[in-house]
Amino acid sequence: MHVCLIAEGSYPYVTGGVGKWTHDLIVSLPEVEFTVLSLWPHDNPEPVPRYPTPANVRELRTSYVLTPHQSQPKPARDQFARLEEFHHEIKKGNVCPFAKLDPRIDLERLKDEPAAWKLITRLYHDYAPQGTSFPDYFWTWQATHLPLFNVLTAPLVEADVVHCISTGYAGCLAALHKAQFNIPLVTTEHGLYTRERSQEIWDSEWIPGEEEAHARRSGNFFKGWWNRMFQSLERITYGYSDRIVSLFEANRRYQISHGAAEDRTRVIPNGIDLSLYENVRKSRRGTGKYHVGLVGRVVPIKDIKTFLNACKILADRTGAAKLEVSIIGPKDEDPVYSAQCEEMIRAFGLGKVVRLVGKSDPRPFYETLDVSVLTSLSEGQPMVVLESMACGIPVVATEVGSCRELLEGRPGEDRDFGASGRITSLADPGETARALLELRDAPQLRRDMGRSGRRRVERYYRHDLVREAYLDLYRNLLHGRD
Amino acid sequence: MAGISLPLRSLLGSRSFLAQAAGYAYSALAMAGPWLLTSFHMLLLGRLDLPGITLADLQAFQSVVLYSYGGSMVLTGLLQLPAARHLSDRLFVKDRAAVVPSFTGTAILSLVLHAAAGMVAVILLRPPPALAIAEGALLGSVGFVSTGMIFLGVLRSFPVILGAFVVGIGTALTLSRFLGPALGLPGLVAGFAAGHGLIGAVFLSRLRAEFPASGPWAFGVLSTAARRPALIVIGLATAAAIWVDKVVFWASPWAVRTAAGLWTCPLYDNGFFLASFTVIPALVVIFVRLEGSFHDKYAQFYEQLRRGADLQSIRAGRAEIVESFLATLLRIAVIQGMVTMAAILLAPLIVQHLGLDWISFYVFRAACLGVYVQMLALAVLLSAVHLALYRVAVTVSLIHFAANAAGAWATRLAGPEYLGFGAVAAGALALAVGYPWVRSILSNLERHTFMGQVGA
Repeated sequence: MHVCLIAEGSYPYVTGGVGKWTHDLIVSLPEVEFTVLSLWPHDNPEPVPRYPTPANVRELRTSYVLTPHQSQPKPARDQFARLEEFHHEIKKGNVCPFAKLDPRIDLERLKDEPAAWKLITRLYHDYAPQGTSFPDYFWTWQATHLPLFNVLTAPLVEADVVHCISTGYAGCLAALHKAQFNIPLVTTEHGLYTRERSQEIWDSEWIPGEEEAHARRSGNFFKGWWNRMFQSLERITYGYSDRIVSLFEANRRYQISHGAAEDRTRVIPNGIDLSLYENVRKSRRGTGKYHVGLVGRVVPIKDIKTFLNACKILADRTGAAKLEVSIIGPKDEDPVYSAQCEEMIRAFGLGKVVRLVGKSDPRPFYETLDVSVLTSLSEGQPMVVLESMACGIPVVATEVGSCRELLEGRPGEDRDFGASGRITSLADPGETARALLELRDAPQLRRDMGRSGRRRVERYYRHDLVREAYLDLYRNLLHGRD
Repeated sequence: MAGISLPLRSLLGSRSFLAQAAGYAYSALAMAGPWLLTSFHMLLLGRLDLPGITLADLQAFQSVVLYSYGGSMVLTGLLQLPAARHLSDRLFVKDRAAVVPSFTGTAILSLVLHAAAGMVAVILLRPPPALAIAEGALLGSVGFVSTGMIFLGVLRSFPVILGAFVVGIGTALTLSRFLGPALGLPGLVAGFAAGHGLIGAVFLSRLRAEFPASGPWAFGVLSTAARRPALIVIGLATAAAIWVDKVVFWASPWAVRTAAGLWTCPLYDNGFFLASFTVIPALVVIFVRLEGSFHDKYAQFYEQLRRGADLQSIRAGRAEIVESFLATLLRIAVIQGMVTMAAILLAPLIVQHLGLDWISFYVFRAACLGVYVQMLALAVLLSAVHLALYRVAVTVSLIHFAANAAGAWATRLAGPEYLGFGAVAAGALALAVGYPWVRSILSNLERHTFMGQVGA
């Protein structure tokens, strides 16, 4: 079986999270051959793979979303008419014209083609509010469309199944595969791509239209446009997908509310290879100090600063001599943020308590951690929580993604296992510190939680379950059984 | 530095007929003053009846001036648009300290080019040493003055240009009166060169007095030229197109060799020289319109883009540019048409009064038509440069150059009665190519502006 796997901004160039999940999936399915299409912003600097290429990867191709590509031969004569039809139809929620799109549009063609200009100005008349800045409209059109044209003209792979690891550009390219080759399409979402983009869009300062929106007392048209674009990509992806997989129930509900057909959705949670953590669990020991750890990249979305603030409160209450804090994860992805975190550690006088370890195998740290912490602002189903639970370590995690499900159990049998940690609010160092103080003072509770977590992972979150689930999914789709 | 833009704008903006007339007269003086003064110098020198200066000396002197001006125009054409663009860019970012160093740097480049051309001319023509020195001085000083006129033109310092020419030509005339009888032809040339040296010195001193200098010289013009090589081609081809037909006839059987060893073709040159005075109205209209209405509409259009106007407003701004462009051409066509008609009707009288031969009469009439269409083509070309439509401007200027050369060659073969019609055909061809092209782009200016930036 040959699967075309499409990843955006992750595998094989980003460690952890989706990248690691993708790598593990490929490695766990040696009977499946994969061609990986990786979408990455720029070719300069050229990205460096962070994973060794597994033996069952037939080819790894990278397409650069923001790098203009070479001209494409012989586009259809009515390509702009098709594009216009697509625009009007997608506004109505009809994704079918996507299959008729001819995306072979290069920069030179755009520059010289009067039909392209007519299309842009007609869409401006049709959709932009009166008085909208045309220069802003034009640049937004370019910024939203050119990456899409780049993605959609990437060479396609005629595989048995196409599997995208998000909606967005990756989902769109996967839908094109489906339309072109009529092969089954599987979409797996870890987080919720559109919701994450939406957050970035509303937070952004580079998108124009704020002043106009303020003057009109209405929403920002351009931010709305960006959102609608990603929502359209989501709609296309869902519309063309045969199976839409999420990691947990809340996300599945979201997908359904955003246009995914309910009967095509299902939950396949993350899983981990328990054998990798067996020795860790057996070797767990104390250090004589209260050892708290956070495994994750030192980047804003992990909100390391909230964790450091919590550590400061914890150190004040515990005494620096009795506390040990480890932050295990790459520090080089956002050097400015890393430097700010290091400065906070110095300013708090925690230099001897908090250690920024950098990229490292977390397992030696799991042997001595009393509590594992996650302060992320956004997650899907964090592997680090599953790993900690597999090692029998209680977890204090923010209420993101499926953390509550993981720590408190889903309704039914799962919940009977008991709590395996504490849920805290986002960006609330006081609450995180209170949970850590509670667990500091309750060794038996820590042990109980660790045991619950271990049992929950053994029952629901095993790597072999994920492997079997995807293998079944591929096979059934391929043979039309599912 | 006091430019004419504001006073001119004020005069032309007035509803009073007298103020309007004064505005156009002012522009005419600014545009044609140096040229008229130079012609006046030639004319007066002939009338002075200087002892020891023969008619052959005067003809030789005129040929030296003709070659120096023609050669300098072509050589300066290489630098003209890059230098103007570079200076405009510096002024746009309010880098006033860059003006003098840029001028000095450009003048050095210009002098190097003129020196190289002068060396080639000396090797080929082998003039007597005294004449060679005087000619070299003249070529260099004309090159320096041409560079200065680029900068002062961008700075709209036309009163300075005019004042400097009054002083310089007056000095040249005075010196020629003394040096001519003493040294002969080299003396006349040296006097003229000294006058131009003085003009250049006035230019430099005014620039230095007006602008602080960030250094002795700067060669930013080279990087501008490297970024936009089209500007070199346009400047060179436009200047060369004006002279190429003359050069063809200087190499014809009708050419005569002056005492300075230079070939001229009075049959062709006299008629064209005379006809060239008829372009003054067209030049004034081009100047006033391009600097005034067209520039304003163009600036408003881009200001709308910068401020983020809606498409309807942008299109209205573009329509005003088109209207201004068409009005400029129409005005040139009408005003220059009337002048050309009058010149053709009065041709017998003019030629008779000046004592020119019958061939010059025919050439003059054809040349009047030639400069008429050339002025229209020039308006189109300058509009294209103004709008940064470099591909159009390069094509039109190269077509004009090639057609003028071919036309001159063809009319040379056809016979004397056809002289001048090559220039008419060349101008018409350049106009026929350039006008619909610019018109078409202007009609879709917003598309060209936006779509041209795709991927940028």
